[in-house]
Order: sequence, then structure tokens, then C-alpha cells
Amino acid sequence: MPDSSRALVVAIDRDLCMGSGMCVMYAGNTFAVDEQTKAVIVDAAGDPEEQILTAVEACPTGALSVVGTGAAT
Amino acid sequence: MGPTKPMLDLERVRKVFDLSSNYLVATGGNYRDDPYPVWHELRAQAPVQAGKVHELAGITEDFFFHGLPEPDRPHFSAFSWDACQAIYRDDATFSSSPVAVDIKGGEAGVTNSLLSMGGSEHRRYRGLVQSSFGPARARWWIENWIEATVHALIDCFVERGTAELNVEFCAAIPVLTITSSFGVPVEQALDIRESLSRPDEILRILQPIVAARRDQPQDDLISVLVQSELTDEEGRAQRLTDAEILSFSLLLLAAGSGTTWKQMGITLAALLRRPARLQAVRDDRNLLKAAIEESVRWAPTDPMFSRWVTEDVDFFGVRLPEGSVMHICLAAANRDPQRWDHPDEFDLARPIRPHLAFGSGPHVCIGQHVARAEMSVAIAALLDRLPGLRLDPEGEPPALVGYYERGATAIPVVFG
Ligand code: HEM
Ligand code: SF4
Repeated sequence: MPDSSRALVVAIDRDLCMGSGMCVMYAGNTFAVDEQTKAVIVDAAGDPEEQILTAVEACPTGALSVVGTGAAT
Repeated sequence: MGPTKPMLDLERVRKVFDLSSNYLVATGGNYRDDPYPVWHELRAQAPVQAGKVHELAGITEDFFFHGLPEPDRPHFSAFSWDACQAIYRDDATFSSSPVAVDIKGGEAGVTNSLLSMGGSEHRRYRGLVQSSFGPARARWWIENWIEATVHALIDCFVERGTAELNVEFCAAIPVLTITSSFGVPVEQALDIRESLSRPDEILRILQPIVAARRDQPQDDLISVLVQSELTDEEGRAQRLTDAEILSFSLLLLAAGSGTTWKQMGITLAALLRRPARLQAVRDDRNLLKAAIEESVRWAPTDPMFSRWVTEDVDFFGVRLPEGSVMHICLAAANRDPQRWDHPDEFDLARPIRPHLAFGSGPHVCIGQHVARAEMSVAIAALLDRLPGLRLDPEGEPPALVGYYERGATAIPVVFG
């Protein structure tokens, strides 16, 4: 299990997010799409860090950004 | 329906989906070479260049696709990962249409749709169906339409020991998936596909279904469309008109059937021509995801989409005048050596990273999760049900052909 005390802190800009679901496809234990078709974080350390960074890069509208590392909750 | 009776008239499928037929020859269906070596050269020369992709590659024939021919505008093409990605992400400078979309008043057609919209209008329209296409909905598509279609098609040839997978299988799955999600019976699926350039005909087929779903919605995509409400700039919610439903339908039919067919054929051809890799996937089904991601990176069926430049701008050292067309050679970006090691190799061990086969930016492919579901369910079912599946040693091995719409030639296989 990834160590959640040192998880990446990812911010979601809900205005930019258009619900593409691409973050879910690259890091499906970390991101989900809610009933408003916007991304949410379900577990900040749900996937290995590398996969979370891949998801951030994959976001087609740049709605995801890493804002630091640290205690996630 | 008897198990060995074809679900579709295969002669008609062959005609509608033959890359070198009248339908597709205009996009470069007769092109037989490997376009990638020249794209590598062009990218190495300069990431952004004046000219159309095929012209820069030395092809003198006129090919047509998104953003072509546009004879009265300057043309530019982008070949590197960084340039293509930058264009996709900047939809203010690089717009999906030179003019505003007019669904209600304009002529019905594939591009008179959300494909060509921008900004908040695009978001509002796309938002109506986005949730039906999310990864969480993949099971809905699989259980309602994909699985049944895949198995019914395999039933048609499983006893025979041979098949031509490109037409008998790959071409049929996406068109049947999307038309059945619209409530169109199998017998009419090909009428629809053949009528893409005759919107009146499609409207004639869809209108009774739309009326029936308005009365009594069902658990399908057309019901999602008739029930959804579009909120205008003033916040007023209104049900979609017939013209708006037709626009959605034309776009989904055009964007969702040919693409997934060709990409599935490319994936199968790549695996069947590499028996050790096919065996690896057969032994470890987790590798199927890698195979599909690698197929779309390595040989995306639509290698180029285009944008219209909204203001004079300097871009990667090139001056782009307002009104120019920018062609995004996403297939070249997908093999940029700056981003991928040994980019020309079809390599299942490569780390899965974002590519541009489904585009990017706000117009990123809405059907990508459905396309992935179709390809993975279909290929897994072939491996499960056809032991020893391999290319027919007597047949011509499949090649990849076409320019702006790439796909495999016939895929003759034997099994059992
Ligand atoms: C492997 C198969 C597929 C590939 C390679 C593919 C590729 C693409 C690409 C590159 C774009 C962006 C076009 C642009 O940049 O202007 C796109 C858009 C689109 N695709 Fe796909 N596609 C596939 C399957 C599907 C399926 C199955 C559907 C629907 C069921 C679909 C529906 C759409 C729609 C509606 C758009 C326009 C989205 C918008 O403008 O907001 N596609 N596709
Ligand atoms: S990838 Fe970006 S746009 Fe898509 S759901 Fe995730 S945050 Fe939203």
C-alpha cells in the first residue's frame, strides 16, 4: 500500500473539469467522477504516485494540478 | 436468429467499410505506404511547418478530412508532441470551427454539431451526454449492447474454423453498438451507416424512435437525449429539439462506428502478426489493456485533426495569421522520440502514458471509454472462444493502409 501520509496533494479545478474520466482511467483508485460529472478524489493515495502523476498529465483541460505533498485528508 | 446466420449482410458491410471504396477513398484510402518515416523527417526538420500534412509528405493527390480542403486559407501542420499538445490545450487560439455553429437553422451534417462548437456552448451540449460515456458507464454499454453483439457475431463463424475478422467482426461491432444504443433494429443499422451524408434519411429512421421514447423512455442512449434539458445562457432549461437530437445522432454515428472498427482491426492485426505477443495477452489478460493503449498510440486510426487560428500568433517560431488552418498530426506526436523510447515499436511492456489518439483539450473523444470497452470485450471473447487463433497461413497477412483514415486490410484467421 502507498503511504498515505506522504501522498501527493492534487487540486481539482471544477470549472475546468469537463468530466472526461481520463484521470479515472489512469488512476482509478484515486479519482472518480461524481453525479455532476466532475472529478473528485476518493483516496489521495489510491494509486502509486507515478500513476497519479500520469493522470494529472492526462487531464485534457488541465483541471488537475499537484499542489504539494503531505498529509492527505 | 439461428446461430450460424449472419446478423448483417456482410457484402454490404464490406462495401460500406472498404477503405478503398467510394466512401473512403477521398481520405486517402488507396494509400499503401508507411507514412511514419516521412512524419519522423518532418518532425525532425521543424515541429510546426507551413503546408498540409500530406502535401508536406510529398503527396500530390488531394486528400480530404477535418480541416480540408479549405482552399482560401493558409495551412500549417504540427508534428511534435509539445506542439500538438499545446494546440489541443489552447482552444481559445485554436478553435474547432471557423464559424459559429447553427444547429437549428443550419444544414444538418456531422460537423454541424458539438464537434465544431466552442467555449461554454460546447460544454453545455457535451455535458448532456458526457455522463453516459464515462468510465463508470462502461458496464452499461457492455451489458446492454457490446457483449451480446460480440457473441452473436462469433456464433456466426465459430463452427467454421476460419473467419475474416476485419469485416465479419471488427466492422460490425461498433456500428451495431451505437445503432442499438439508439434503439435502431439490426436490420436498419446499415441503412443508417450508409446514409451519413443524407441526414434526411437518418431523420426518417430516427423520428419514430424519438417519438416513442418521448412517450415512454427506456434504458438507452436515445432516451438520455430526448429527456435531457439544455440550459441556455439565461439559465432557462429546455428539452432538445428534433434538430438537436439529429445533430447528436449524426455525430455519434459518424465518430463512433468507423473509428472503433478500424482501431480494433489495427489492434488485432498488430497482435496476430506478432504471435509471441498474442500469446502473452492470451496468458495474461491484464496485458490486453496495454495492447489497446499501445495500438492507439502506435497507429491511431485518425492520424490528424484540425483547428482554426483565431488571432495572429507566433507559435514554435512560425507566424500564424488569423484564419489559418492548423493540422495536428497527432500520429506523429504519438511517436515523438522525445517522449517515447523506440517509438516505432509496438511494445506491450512500455509504461502506459497519455497519448493523443483520442485528441485532447475540451473536444477530447467522448467515446473513448466505450471504444476501449468494445475493443477489450471483443478481443477477449475471440481469445476465449477461438482456441489457437492465428493468421491463416494461406492468406495474405493484414497490412495497414489509408492516409487520414488508417485501418487494416482483410484479417484472415484460422482456429480450432
Ligand atoms: C478507437 C476509436 C476512436 C478514436 C481513435 C477516436 C478519436 C477521436 C479524436 C481524435 C477526437 C478529437 C477530434 C478533434 O480533435 O477535433 C474524437 C472526438 C469525438 N469522438 Fe471519438 N474516437 C473513437 C471512438 C469514438 C466512439 C466509440 C464514439 C462514440 C460512441 C466517439 C465519439 C466522438 C465524439 C462525439 C467526438 C467529438 C467530441 C467533441 O467535439 O467534444 N468516438 N474522437
Ligand atoms: S481528466 Fe480532467 S477533465 Fe477529465 S474528469 Fe479528470 S479532472 Fe475532469
